[in-house]
Amino acid sequence: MTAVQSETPRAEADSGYNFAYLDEQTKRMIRRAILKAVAIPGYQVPFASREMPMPYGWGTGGVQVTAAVIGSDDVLKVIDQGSDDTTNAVSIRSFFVRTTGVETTEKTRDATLIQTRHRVPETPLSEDQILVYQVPIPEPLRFLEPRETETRRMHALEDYGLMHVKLYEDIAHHGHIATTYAYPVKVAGRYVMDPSPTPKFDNPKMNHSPALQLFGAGREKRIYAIPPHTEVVSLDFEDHPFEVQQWDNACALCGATDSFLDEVIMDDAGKRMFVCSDSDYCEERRAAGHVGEEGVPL
Amino acid sequence: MSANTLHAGFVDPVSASQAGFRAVLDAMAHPGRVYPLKGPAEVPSGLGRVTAGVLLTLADYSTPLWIDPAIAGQEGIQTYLRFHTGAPMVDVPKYSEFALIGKGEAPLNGDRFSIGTPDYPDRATTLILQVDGFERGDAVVLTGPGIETPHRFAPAPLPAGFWDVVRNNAALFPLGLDIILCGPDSVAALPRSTRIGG
Repeated sequence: MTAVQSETPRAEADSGYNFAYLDEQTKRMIRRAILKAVAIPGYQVPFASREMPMPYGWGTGGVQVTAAVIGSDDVLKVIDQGSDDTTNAVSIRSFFVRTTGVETTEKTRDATLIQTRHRVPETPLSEDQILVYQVPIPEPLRFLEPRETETRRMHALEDYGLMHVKLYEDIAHHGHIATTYAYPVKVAGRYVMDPSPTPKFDNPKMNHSPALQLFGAGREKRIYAIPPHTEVVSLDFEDHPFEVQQWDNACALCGATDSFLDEVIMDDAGKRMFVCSDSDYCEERRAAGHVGEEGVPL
Repeated sequence: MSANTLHAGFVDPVSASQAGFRAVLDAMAHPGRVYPLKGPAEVPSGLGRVTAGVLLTLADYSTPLWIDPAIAGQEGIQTYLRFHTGAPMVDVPKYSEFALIGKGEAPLNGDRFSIGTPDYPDRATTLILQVDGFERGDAVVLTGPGIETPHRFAPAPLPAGFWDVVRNNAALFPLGLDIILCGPDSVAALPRSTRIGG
């Protein structure tokens, strides 16, 4: 019998850096912030975000959270808009392979730790997994109230009327709630939280997820969390209930009708196709024999 | 071994503190569930191995530490933690980020510790208690974030007033005290979001 080969063979980590790049004192500081974040679901814990060897905006918050959590026996998956092979995912994955030597995977169900930019995998997560989100702007009220002192006080007083006014104005202007991503949620009945710019399609997956969800914002220096099995409610109105996006098309490659679809422009004549944003989900379906309109059997 | 000997800390601090953190993180994310944790091999008397492991994982020069004067072996514990973590020792519990509570007869008074402020609820003391086990005490049923179905939890021994502190968290939320319980070879936690009763 031959041993099962992992997709990426375990590499030797660069010896010039501490395990996972960060120094131990920094990890301790981040770890303490993560524990407080888990204890107060949805509250943004300030932390002393470090400069990372990548610019702000490239997931430095998520990278610092992952670096504080990761261990040598973790199996890491990194996705960018659902895909394992876009620039951000590839560079962060190779960063952790170089600094930790951990095993990586593209399979959602094989991963113990998943760092994501703006998507929740389609495959349901389990209790043994941790999902780390990269967050650009953690404060859901920031575009409504620019002063940090005020938004902090609004969270303290649970004063979220302004957010409902914003959603109401959507309805007044467009006839429906036009917010499609970074759709505000209320966590465990207390804090209103920005689920990071994930499409609102993913909001229901955050509700009572068995996996621990951690959010890291590097430039804004905030960490927050949703513990497993925690109520996450998308804000809405009785007469305008929360709804997720729907498509008239199925995935052109795997025929899925239950996944989040990306629209891809094919030529100058406006030809377009819709494909799963979650590359692993699409591949798994194709491997199982599902074929979409423009797909070929694997 | 002479009384002046300083016990060693983690042999491999990087992987040991990562493993320690993951156990505490799992415990905090699943209140009342017990997770195995190894501490350093040798610890001063009065300080459990798991407790030492948790403090070596989380405490450093930026986290004021209060040690319950009721804990025996006070001096040895202070010397050990001061050397390995660099944490400043404080006499006033309110100023502490971590508070190590003894098994002693003194009742636990939650008012002595910092519960955070409405603007910064995270600036609250984390209580660390040493227990003998998680099965034999008076059982309570836990609910709240991180708990799928009401969960039975029975740590012992606990100081008088312990469950009042946990109950009081419901009234204080989002302020409150987070609690880490250290057994002989495992750890459990009660974050302030946890409620008692089905």
